[in-house]
Amino acid sequence: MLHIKNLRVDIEDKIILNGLDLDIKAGEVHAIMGPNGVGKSTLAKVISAHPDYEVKSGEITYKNKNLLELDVAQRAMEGIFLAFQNPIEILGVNNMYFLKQAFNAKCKYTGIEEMTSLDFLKLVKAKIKSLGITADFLKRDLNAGFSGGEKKLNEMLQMSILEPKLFLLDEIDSGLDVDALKSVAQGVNSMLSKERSVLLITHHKHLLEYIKPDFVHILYDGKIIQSGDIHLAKEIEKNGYSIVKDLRSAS
Amino acid sequence: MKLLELETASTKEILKEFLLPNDLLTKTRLDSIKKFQELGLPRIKSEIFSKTGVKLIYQNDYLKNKKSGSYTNIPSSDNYRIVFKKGFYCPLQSNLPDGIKILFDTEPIIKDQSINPFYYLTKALNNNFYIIEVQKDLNVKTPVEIIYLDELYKSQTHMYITLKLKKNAKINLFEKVLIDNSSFFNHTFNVILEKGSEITHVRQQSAELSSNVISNYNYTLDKNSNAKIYSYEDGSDLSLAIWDIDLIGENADIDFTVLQLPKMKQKLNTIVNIKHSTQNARSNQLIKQIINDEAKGLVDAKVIVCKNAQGTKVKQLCNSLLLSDKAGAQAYVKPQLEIYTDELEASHGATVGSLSQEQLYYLMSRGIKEEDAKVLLIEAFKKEAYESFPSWAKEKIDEYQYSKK
Repeated sequence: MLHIKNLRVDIEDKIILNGLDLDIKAGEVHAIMGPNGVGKSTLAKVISAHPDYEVKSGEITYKNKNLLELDVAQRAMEGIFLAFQNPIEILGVNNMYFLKQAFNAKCKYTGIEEMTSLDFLKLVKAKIKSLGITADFLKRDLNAGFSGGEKKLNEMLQMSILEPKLFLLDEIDSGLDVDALKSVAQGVNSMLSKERSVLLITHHKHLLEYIKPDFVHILYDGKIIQSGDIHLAKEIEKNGYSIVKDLRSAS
Repeated sequence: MKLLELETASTKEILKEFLLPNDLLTKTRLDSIKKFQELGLPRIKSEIFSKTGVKLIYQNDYLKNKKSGSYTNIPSSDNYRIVFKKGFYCPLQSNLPDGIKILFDTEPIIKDQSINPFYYLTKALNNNFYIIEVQKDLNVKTPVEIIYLDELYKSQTHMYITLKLKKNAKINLFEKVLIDNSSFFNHTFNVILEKGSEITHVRQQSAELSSNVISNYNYTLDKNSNAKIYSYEDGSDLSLAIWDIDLIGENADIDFTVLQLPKMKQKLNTIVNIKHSTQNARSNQLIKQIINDEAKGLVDAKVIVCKNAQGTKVKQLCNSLLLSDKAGAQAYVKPQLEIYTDELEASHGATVGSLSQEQLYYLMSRGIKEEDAKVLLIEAFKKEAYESFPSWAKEKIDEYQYSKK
């Protein structure tokens, strides 16, 4: 589904990713771990075409398309969804209206007939019920005044309505208490299928107890320096990122 | 006649050029011409007017004054209506409820301390002084429209109107400036709110882009009176709206909201002075401007709180959104508070910025195209001001916006 080859990414002349390779097949859940500032969030943002990051070299293909030729909205319509670590607040844009705009954009792109407002409302109500969200979410402005947990749930709500194929989950566990984390993880798990893949970015193994990865990768110095399964995450949990240094010196 | 020529023309020439009546108010007109000529048109040194771009119209050669012409039909409406064509009241196209009457004003209020030369031009060169009186205790919920029309090519019109709400009267006023055809419209609108009276005043300045509009508003609010003013401005090549608002009565209350939307090479200016002359009055200003292309928007907003105005509450907020990176585009915002009392609640602020790239990215990351995402963010910026407009006006402005698309 997603192939990244020898990727180099700069921000303001500083190299963030350098020689990164990653392959994600349909139905797989990949977790990226690494200490602060190694470029984990950068990777997610580059895949979704954040304007601040400049791809200097390398390739990203998604469903056999050159992703680097598509803009942010086109990538989203192709099925890539970035769940933000800290979703931005947008005063004046009603949450429900925004959801409808995004849903209509997807319908238009995929050639599906748009839903009536009533049918869309029914769909949204069913989704918020399954996520345990109250209806007042829809009346509020987009993320405005939302708590950390509410923001993450709102990301899950968007994801469940837009039904993307590749979930990029950028530290969705940050700032969440155990109950909120369970709700968010439950939301993600309920959407997993053989056609959908996940790239999960996290500092801690904790989240991986709720969303089970097939692969765990360690990102350091702008590239993936080791890949494994959940045992790698357990080792990090046990010994910390000091093993990264050992791995680095060994390589 | 050019505005520049009015500075030096003799009073005889001016009276002849503008076909002004010789009546009891001729002395008022002559005094006003004198006052205008003493002040002169604002030059670059004039602090208030220097950045408005108003001098660009001084050399426009307006054609000799005419009194008749063909006019666009005004869409029918369920509202009450007062229509002025080229400065003349049109009773056949107007429709007023019992308790509101329009008269020739034989004793117009005079504001001799004004430093605004355009105000004196309206006093000197209007065809008739008009007064609209709303009787005591009258409560009219159906909006009263005041429509100004002028579509004579390259003409100039000067008007002087006073609206008086007597004690406890309440009205909704929808003022529409629909000037056309490279003309110049300069009007004074005095609003006197007696004790306990209330007005919701929506102003829609949607003049054609070839025309120029100067509006001089003088509001006086007596004890327990209340004004809610909403100004929507997207028309004319150059417009200058000068609002002088005096809260003279205790507990007078004003909400003042402006949405200024210049585009292309428009120059839209709002100058507002709110004076708290007595205690326990409240004023709340919200001014939003969205500047596109090579347009310029100016907001000069001042609140003066006098020494004896204890218990005053003042809020002032100006937000500008610059959508264009073209060289000519400019937002000039100057919020000011002048406070001479110790006992008050006051806050003010101003922001000037462009669309947030992070917000744009977020919306696009959900599949919303860039142009649609920008529209969403622009509408969000407008929302706080526009949503506060009364629904009866918003409906019409929405229709008007839709018809322009």
